[in-house]
Amino acid sequence: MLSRDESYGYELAQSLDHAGLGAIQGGTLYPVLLRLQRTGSVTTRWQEGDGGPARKYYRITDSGREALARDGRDWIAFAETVTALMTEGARR
Amino acid sequence: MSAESWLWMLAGELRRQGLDPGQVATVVTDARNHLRDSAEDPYQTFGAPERYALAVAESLAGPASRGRPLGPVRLEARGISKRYGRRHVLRDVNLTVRSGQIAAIVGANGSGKTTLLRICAGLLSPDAGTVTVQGRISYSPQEGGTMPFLLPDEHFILVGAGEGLPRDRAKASGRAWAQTLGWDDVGATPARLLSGGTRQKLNLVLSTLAGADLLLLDEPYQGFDRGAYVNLWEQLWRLRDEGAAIVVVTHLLNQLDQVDHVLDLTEVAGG
Repeated sequence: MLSRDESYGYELAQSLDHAGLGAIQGGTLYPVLLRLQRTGSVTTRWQEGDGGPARKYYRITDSGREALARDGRDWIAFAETVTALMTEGARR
Repeated sequence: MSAESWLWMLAGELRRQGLDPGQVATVVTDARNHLRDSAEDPYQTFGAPERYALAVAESLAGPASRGRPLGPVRLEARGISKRYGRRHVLRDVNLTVRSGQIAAIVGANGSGKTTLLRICAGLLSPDAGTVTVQGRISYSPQEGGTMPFLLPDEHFILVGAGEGLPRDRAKASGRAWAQTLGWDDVGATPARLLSGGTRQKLNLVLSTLAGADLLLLDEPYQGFDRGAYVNLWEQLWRLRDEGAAIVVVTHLLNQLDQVDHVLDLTEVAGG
């Protein structure tokens, strides 16, 4: 989702929910974001809100995009294998 | 339980996990914003403060991070004194910085911060005292250090060449560093036309490109907005955790800036 546009924590949680992953709790979300930040896959910036508090926006970095492309391919390959096996099982 | 008291407990647990005050403030602010937006119960969304603090600490701990033993001494300044005419700028000042440490030199204007840093960098001789440096130094001056008519990329290539980096690698890593400081459009603007804050970022990128063992930074975040300032500290912490010894001269040090050692020249300069 961050590869499309930068976003802040709560908005990301909502997007994940809308995408069908269910409610991702803050206790799960932020540690993951911290890890991505530590490894340099995302970067953050503070943006003053309109009258509200400053928000921290997360944005994907070039190395984050590379990691996404790489891990994405791995995931798709894995998912295809599992899908093939499951399809076979479900048909019986 | 109110969100604020949960956040208060979280801050305590994060400190107990050994986080920097700056990291504690960031994590608590993130959680507070989330709770305000979602109007959820903190225990529902984050769980118990001690559990969440543990998860955060585990996420932040890099491969060679917390609890690491300190490395060798990179900078040792002993008994440094410097006078300009009859005015004592520095009087018997000592500073030791090891690999894996950040030291801040603070003090009022004219208290000798920049003078001390220049002495440490070997650009200025002290009237008394010795400076011993182990490893490669990188010095980022308060002003200057960039070449007015060169583009940022050309700076990266030039400095990279001094380190034996190929052009493409130098450019790529310069740009990657620039991005971590919130400077994205490293474009076709020569240094003399960059804003003060951006020129300072260029200066910083150059001083980190070299991969030095000892970084000497003079007022590194002049002209930075808050975001760039926070990003800079996150990068400095990372370099420190990777084993760099860092000295930062600053007249403003707030609670966000977690450093390992503070040398306040105001007190010393009193006499």
